[in-house]
Amino acid sequence: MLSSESIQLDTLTICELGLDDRARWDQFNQSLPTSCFMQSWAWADFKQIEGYQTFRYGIFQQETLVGGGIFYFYPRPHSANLLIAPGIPCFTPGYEVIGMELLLEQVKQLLPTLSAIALRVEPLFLQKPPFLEKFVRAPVDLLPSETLLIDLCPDEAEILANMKPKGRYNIRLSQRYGVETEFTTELQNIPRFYDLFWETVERQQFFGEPYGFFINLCQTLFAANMAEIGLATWNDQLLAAILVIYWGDRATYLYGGRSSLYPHVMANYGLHWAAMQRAKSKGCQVYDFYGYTQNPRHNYAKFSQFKRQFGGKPVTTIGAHDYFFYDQLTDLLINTLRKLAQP
Amino acid sequence: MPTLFIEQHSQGLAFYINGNLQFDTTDEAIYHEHLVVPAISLAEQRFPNLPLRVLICGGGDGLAARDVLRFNQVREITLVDYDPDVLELGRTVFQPYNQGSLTTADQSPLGSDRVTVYTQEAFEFVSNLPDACYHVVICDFTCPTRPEETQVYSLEWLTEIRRILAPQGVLAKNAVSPQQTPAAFWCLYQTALAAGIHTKPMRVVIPSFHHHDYGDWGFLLGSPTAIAPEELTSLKFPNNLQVLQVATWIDVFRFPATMANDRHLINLHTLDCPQLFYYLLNSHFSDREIDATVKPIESEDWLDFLAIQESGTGLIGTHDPLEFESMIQVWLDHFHPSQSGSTSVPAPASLIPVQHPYHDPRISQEWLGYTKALLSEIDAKQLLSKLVDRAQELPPQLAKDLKQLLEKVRSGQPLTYISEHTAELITILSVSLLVANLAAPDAAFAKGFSGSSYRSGYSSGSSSSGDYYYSDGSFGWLGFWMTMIGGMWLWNLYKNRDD
Repeated sequence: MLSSESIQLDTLTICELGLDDRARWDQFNQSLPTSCFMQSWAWADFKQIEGYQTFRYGIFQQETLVGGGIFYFYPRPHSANLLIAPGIPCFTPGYEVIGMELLLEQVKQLLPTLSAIALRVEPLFLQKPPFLEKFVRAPVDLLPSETLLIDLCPDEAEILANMKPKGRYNIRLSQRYGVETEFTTELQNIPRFYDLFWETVERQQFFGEPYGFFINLCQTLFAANMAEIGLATWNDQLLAAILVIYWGDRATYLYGGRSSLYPHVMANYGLHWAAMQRAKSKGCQVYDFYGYTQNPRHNYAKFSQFKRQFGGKPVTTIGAHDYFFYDQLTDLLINTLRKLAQP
Repeated sequence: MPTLFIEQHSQGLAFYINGNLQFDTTDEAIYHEHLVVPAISLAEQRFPNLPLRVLICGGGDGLAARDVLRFNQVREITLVDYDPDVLELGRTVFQPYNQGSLTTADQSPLGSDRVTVYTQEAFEFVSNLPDACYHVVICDFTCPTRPEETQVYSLEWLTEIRRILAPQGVLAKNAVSPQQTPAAFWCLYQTALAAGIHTKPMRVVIPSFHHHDYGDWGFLLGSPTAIAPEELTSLKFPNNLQVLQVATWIDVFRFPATMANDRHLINLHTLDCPQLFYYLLNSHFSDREIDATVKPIESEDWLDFLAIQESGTGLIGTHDPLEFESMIQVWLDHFHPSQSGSTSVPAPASLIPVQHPYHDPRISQEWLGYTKALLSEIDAKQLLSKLVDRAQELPPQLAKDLKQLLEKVRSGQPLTYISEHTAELITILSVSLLVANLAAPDAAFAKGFSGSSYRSGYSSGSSSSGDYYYSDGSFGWLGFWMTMIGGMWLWNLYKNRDD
């Protein structure tokens, strides 16, 4: 590994990535230990469809890609905006300090046109590194910073052995009942998934994204071979559905829903176990339950109890951090005062 | 370009644009027959024996054109839709349902040389048309999901429509839900009236729309010449309609009073002062500040717009409620209630309106509870220094107050007082941080947090540390609250330094 002191700023270049860079960027990002699917090219395409502007930068040492990041901006007709970048920084080890400096300088060049008062990043780090010293903890996160990870490296028997007895029991129960599972990228399954998702949102009283969000997400990520819908049926009735994203060595259970019918057949257990087996067969080493809490009073407490039955290791990342652009914030306050003073 | 999705099912298909249902073949006839048939029938009645010219704006799926083609008196149909992909679907996948309305006579049974299709923005297209050149205009646009999509619902648009209509011509317009977004629906109604179009609102139940929680759906039927009730009760419809029946269709003009009584309070939608998108996202009347002196409406009251002939209120807003400065002004009005006359506790939706279709008022409420945490992110000393560096751009008293404050902060003197001007500035800063977070749809969801409630946000803002600051007593409750929060924020500056 290079030491950060040995890298000279003038040996690096930063530039906006184009479509030709897609494969190289994705490959680079997936190779990082803290890689995040929200830094994938396809996710950025999805967000563009959702109305975001995206800014995709690569940092090169000569011809070698050593870092970069995809930044997201939702245009609004006013000056109080955030630039967000879930999953960054993304650097080859050793390039973090100088790379972050370059990225911030590049982002600052966007400010006259974007009117952002802060940049929010959310790396999947377990500790805040010194090069994020000027970033302050945001009050909310872009990703669930506490999650539960299942290690998929052991063989299946060992993964099962590492689960809670109730988890193992319920998986076997779903198998005995004959719950069937399938994984698909067929777009006609989006409404099947969404009906169960929305039923669950209403039952659990969570905020839920609308149907159009899932149409855009599935149309984009399925085409990039990055996601699948998992379905569990029993007696030809759909009882559980999940949406899984594959990125790097990680499979992430991003969304899901289950019917309130026939809970005794444990379709949800069978489906997640099938998803873990499928992820393992695709080369993933981690199954990420994407959101977890050990706090019994947290909104996530109820479904965390379900997830806990699969064993795994709770992990808490450092969460979202903000870098404020004080010149822009000052501009915003002064301009607002000026406009309010006008008759 | 918008995303298109076709959902195949056992009884046909459902078509979505940007995830919003456009039609389901199981019940699309309810929508299209209500949109098209009364308007063309009325035109036939008003222009007997005259070859009719019909303009369809939007409607690239060809379903509205299909129902216009039912009328032999229609000699010319112009269809203008900006989306070539939808038009292509209209000519191919949707052909079994629109009976080939967008194809030529040699391609399908209903194909006709009467239809001319333009792939173009409707506003631009209409702007270049001569006066009084159509007998009927049918607007079949998608429901707006972004502010820029509301232009074809504006006063300026409808004024253009009135211009190109014959004086006795007819407008049929797809609106929005009077049930789920009543303020938006009546905004369109008032805007049409203000454009000089005598307008009848219509309310229709479409099962597939209800399945998607869109509620009852609304249409507007209008004309530059007032529409008499007897004109509508005497309409003759073509044979072989699936839904509309002469005997019962006029029930569509009946609205529950609870849905319609507040229509006189709604602003018009104009390009200079847009309101529609705000109303769509923040539509329920209950979110507004309620005047308790108004007599409650009995739930069984109904209004029949068949008989109601009314002129519009012509209310034009003074600002776009989704503009940043507008939101600030609402906060400052409650900061100084004695100056603004605003004495009631504001609804959360008026303090931080919903800004994105994915959000709802609960998110805004929840975010109000984060105000103190958002302020705590700010390096007060750095911000104060930046502001004082530009003191000549600030109001003189505020500049003076901030200089004194910065000196105290630098020298470690205790803070015992926050001036009104400083508290106002902290209010603007707080709203800036709230708006910035809510402007980014993904940030607003606050993933992973247990969530503070609206109530807890207020209580945390006034629960402790009261010894460190006081206001001069002239603020409203919001002024007091912001002063408390601002005081805590500045006090934390000392606390953190000591730590």
